[in-house]
Amino acid sequence: MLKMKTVGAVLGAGVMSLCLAGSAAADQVVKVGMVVGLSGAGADIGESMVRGADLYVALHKKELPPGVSVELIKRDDGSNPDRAKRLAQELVVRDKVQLLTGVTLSPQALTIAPISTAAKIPTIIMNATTGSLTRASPYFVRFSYANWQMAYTLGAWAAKHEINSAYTLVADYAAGHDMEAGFRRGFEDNGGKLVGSDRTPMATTDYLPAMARIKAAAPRSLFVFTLSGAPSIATMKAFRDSGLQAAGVQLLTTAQNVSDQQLPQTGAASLGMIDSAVYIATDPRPSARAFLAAFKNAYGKDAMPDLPAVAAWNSMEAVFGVIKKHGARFTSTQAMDVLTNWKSPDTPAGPIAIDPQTRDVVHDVSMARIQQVGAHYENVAFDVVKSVKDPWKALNPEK
Amino acid sequence: MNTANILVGIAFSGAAYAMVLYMTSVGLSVTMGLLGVANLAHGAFAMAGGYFLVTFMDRLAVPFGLAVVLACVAVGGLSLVLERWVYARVYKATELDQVVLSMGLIFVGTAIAQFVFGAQPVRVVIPDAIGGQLAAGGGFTFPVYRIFLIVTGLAIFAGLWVTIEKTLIGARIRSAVDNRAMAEALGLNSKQLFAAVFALGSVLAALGGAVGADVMAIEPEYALKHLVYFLIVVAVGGLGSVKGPFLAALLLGLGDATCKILAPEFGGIFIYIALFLILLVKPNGLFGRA
Amino acid sequence: MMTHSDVINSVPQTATPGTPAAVHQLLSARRFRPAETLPWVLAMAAYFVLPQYFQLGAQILIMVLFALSFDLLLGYGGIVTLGHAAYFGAGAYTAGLLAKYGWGEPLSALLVSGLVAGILGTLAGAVILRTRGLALLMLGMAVSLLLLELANNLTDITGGADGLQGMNLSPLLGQFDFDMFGKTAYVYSLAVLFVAWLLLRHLVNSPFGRSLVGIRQNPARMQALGVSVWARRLTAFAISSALAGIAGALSAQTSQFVSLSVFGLELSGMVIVMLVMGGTGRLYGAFVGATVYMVAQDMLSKDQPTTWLFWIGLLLILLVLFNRGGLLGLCDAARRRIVNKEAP
Repeated sequence: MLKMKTVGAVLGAGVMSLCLAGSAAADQVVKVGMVVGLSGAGADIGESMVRGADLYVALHKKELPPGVSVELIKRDDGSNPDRAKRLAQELVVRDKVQLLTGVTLSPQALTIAPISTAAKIPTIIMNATTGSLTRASPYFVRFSYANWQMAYTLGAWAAKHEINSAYTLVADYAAGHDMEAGFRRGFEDNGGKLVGSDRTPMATTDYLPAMARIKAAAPRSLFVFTLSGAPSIATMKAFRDSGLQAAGVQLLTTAQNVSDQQLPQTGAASLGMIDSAVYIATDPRPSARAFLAAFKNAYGKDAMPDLPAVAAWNSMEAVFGVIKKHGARFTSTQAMDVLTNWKSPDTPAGPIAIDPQTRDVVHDVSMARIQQVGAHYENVAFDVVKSVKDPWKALNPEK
Repeated sequence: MNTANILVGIAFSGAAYAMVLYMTSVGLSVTMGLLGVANLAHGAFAMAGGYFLVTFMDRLAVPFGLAVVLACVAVGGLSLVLERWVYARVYKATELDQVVLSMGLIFVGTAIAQFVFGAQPVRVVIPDAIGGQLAAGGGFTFPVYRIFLIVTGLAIFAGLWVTIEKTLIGARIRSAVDNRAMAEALGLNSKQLFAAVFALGSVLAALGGAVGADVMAIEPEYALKHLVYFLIVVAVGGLGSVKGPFLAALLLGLGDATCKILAPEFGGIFIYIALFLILLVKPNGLFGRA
Repeated sequence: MMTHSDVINSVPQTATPGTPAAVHQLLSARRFRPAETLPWVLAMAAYFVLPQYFQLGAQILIMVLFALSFDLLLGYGGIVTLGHAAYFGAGAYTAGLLAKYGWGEPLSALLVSGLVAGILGTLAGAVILRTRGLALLMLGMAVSLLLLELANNLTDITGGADGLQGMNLSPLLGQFDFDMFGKTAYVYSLAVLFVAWLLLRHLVNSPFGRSLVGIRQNPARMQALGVSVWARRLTAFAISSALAGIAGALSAQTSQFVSLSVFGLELSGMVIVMLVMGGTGRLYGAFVGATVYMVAQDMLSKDQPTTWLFWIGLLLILLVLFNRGGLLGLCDAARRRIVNKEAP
């Protein structure tokens, strides 16, 4: 009799302590849901984002308060906006995440917006770059960039530097249209003349026909923007193959289309190209160097971080900032408060801050040129425009 | 618009793309016509050709020309294995079964490609000898590699046509296409012939994939992405024919390039409308046998 | 292609159409068997037991409906095309556009979408059903891709590559909001599926349905019997596309978003896979195949899409090589084994 009671008591105590330990452990895990495209059109962007986020968490987890850990729950939306919506909803309802992040492309962001708002979940956008996006939900905070920050700045710079005519060639989707409009506005506002504007279907693999049209218009410069990866590589190659490069037309683009990852593939075709960038992997600043080294250490010597990777890194830094200030069980309001007033002076991409009015990131934008450095090609900055807020929102105030 | 520039643009973009399409699709026409197998996974052989090429060139420092040959051999060997173990069992099966089987193969191929090589397209380094621009009179420059593609495509076409129409092997293949039972009754070893034809088709695909990597990037989604175009070339050209796909590919390539240059907003639609009209008038394709 | 149901339900040698044996057989097929309540019981149980899975559940039900519509064409009619997504997409965009431009009432929009898809199917079918084999496959595909390009180009109306945003749906029956949790979506989809299933079940067990099977097995003979093969096939095509359109409309309404993928080859391929996995030509194959596929995809492709792709590809290859008529076919084989073992 006594034995049974003792056994029962011991078992009971054991079970109880396990439960307590379990719940105590559960108490300290901050679940962050990450909806990214790991297959389909945006797969390379998704892969970069995951790498950047994972790297930050791995390298900085000791900085968290004792017993606290961050769990990044990744979900592949297949670059499909309807799946993104369902996955976000499941992350909120099933996995009970405290924060949402990721978000590769703008359509995904737009479908997730109602969920963020209804569930009051702060959503940190690591990529989707349309200007109006942060207005879609009061819980959206963007850490990547807005299209016009780079396109407008580039257009303005070009017009002010003796490039008097331009042709634009963009992919036919929201970001492409946005870049085209931003470049045009910056260019024409500063005296430039646009001689032609083409949009190619997103699925285009061969850009030589497009270049033929441009050749016929004989512009002084060509602004291109397509989805990164195969389309942007193909664009550069067509630029060279069509003879436009040899004819002296200045190729202009924004940094995602000339990411350091792609430079080995585009090679000589991109030589001399000028781009506006918020992040250059080969930047000589110490924080950039350290990030590059850590990235190569983790993912192989051929791996190259790019914009989505560094945006993910910066986003996770902000998440850690929220936890360090308010502990693991922070409320939405507390998180939004930290996030919308975030400032980080020394990220691998330079100083960043979030503008509390727009909940969008404020960056320095560098002007850079592709040059041959030794045996390979690098994006080298030669000028910088400081603390650029999104020009689109400035020119299109909310009613 | 400068007409001469336009025409040149159309000619080179369109023709080069057409040649790559031809090389990658003609094998499908032959296997579908002769073996009666709706092999939607044909694009996966082209993709494999591209990946093998990259592996040989990058990991084993094999020069371009030799690497292309080796890639074709590798894919040929792979296809013989697949033919024996997988395809031979569905020669007599229904169309649906063949479609589903080849879809399964595409999925497996895509997954392996993504796992081994990652989601990014792989680069193929073109040797300087056939890269760069060729300057001709009148301020025109032609991309040399596109010329190389056109020449290769024409050579393949000529070679195939001569083989099928003029040689004994070709006669055997033609007889088996026309009347398999009779050909076998006359002593033709169809099993070996089928395997050989299947391998030939796959080797051609691999060639197209490898040399065409500049035009059609090598990435895991390759087989699915370009499936539509392969099927269109074969359906419009006609099954079991060598000339048909050539004409169809030219039509497709040139037409597509024309649309892209003159009316880029409608580029995609042209192909499907053309497909529709042609198939309605000639359901067996331009040169197909009923 | 003979399905298992053909073997089991084959008319006795001595009977000719119209005799009591054949009529009796048809009537008995129409009677509801207790096992047929299983899917509905399960679906309703899921409502209570798995409340966090409403959205996924609604998706599954929609895919079941889509697969059902395709089964009518493929399993019963023997018509193989690669472009059934054309009608799904037509329904989806119709519902989407209606909701975006002021027609917020869901039920009427659903019916209109089905009608539009059905009309499209009738027109397309009238043209492409004259062909067979590869040509038919390709033409079916061409329709869906044509529509894809059209939707892609008419960016101002459809949103192009970014998808259709801004759908404004009124609450269902004036009361039930389409909320984030998906409760309304689930019940709505379940109800629509139920009605559609009743209709289809009635159809395939009717003389029309049997004649379709006959056409699939031996068109020449059916023609000789005086049956208008082309007309029946076209009817099947029209009904099938209307139902696919309803599935598409449901999808649009429950997610309040339509993207170009509704016309895509991937979706057309997916429905073939689901149906083959479950078993063609037996109505419940759609239920089994769609559910297994969607659940497996949800569980396995979370953050490793390549793993999922690999295994589903392998499964398809094995399914074809060891042709057992899908999962339901496997069940039949197992059942027969057991019955044979029990027999004296």
